[in-house]
Amino acid sequence: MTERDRFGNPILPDPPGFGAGGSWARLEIAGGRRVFAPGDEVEGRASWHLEEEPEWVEVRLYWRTGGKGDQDVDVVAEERWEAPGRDSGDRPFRFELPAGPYSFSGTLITLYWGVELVAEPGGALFHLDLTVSPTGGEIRLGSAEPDSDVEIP
Amino acid sequence: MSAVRPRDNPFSAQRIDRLPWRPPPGQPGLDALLERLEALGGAAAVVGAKGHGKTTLLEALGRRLEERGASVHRLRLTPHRMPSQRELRGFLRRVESDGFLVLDGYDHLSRWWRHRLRRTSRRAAGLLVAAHRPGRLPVLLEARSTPDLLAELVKELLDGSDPPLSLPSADELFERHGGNLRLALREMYDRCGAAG
Repeated sequence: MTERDRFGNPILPDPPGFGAGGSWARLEIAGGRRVFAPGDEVEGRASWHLEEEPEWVEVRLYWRTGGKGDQDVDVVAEERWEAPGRDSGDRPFRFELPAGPYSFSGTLITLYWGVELVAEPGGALFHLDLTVSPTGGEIRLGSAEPDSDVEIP
Repeated sequence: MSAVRPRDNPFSAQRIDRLPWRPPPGQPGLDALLERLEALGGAAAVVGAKGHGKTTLLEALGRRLEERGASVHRLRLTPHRMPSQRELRGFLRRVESDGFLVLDGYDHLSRWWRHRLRRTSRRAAGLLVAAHRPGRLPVLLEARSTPDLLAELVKELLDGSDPPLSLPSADELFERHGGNLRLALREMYDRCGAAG
């Protein structure tokens, strides 16, 4: 039987870690949670093995908008390790989610939350999508079809 | 509310970008802020969360400085728009003694580049940055939006009319977007563009 979180959402297995030329990176969130309420803590562990010695490795909690027009993004919190070595062991991280914005999906704009692991050099190596909402699901703004010549703010 | 064409949407980016900065109740206006900046030694930060008006204030202060005859050097950094080290060096080299550095997205600079920027600002007329956190710079103003401000902006974009009941209230929008006014107004754009 599928395990479910407190909102009733299924807890899915973590995706496999990134792999390229023997490198890999991975984020795990405690309890396999993907859905959080504003103010909740996102707690987990980062691990990696990198072929090239990193200057730093960082886990970022962020949101971004998608849809037509410019993308908006905000890194809300980050945990950085300077000169952490090619092999991480388990590195714990913990972020407190702000009061908003909530995850939402509109006809023209969608807002996504996520955590990602970034290394320098290397860039973004791994990410997990999250939902942040007091209702346990993303807020749906509307259901009508968008106009074809929409210019988004 | 019936669907509107994008160019007629009252919450279009063009209309939102034209909204002037307004001081929060009980807070100083632009001229008083520039006096405060001078009192702080000419270098300071506007701090606050994303979407709370930092960029709008920074632009308004930059324009006011230009009206006073200052030469303003602007740079805007976002995670998607980071200049190369060469471009950053070029930007700092162009700063002259009467120049004012206005930088949005100070948080995106590395510690080393923030240090270089502060050093460069000593030979300039001043430095004004917008950031989530002030770092080593004194705080000029903490930008903080309110539901009342959002309601005021919505009404202004609707040319003085109250929003129809089919649209969410300012309180609801404010809460849903954590006080991020731009996102709240984007939601209104979405709803107006999609309604039918």
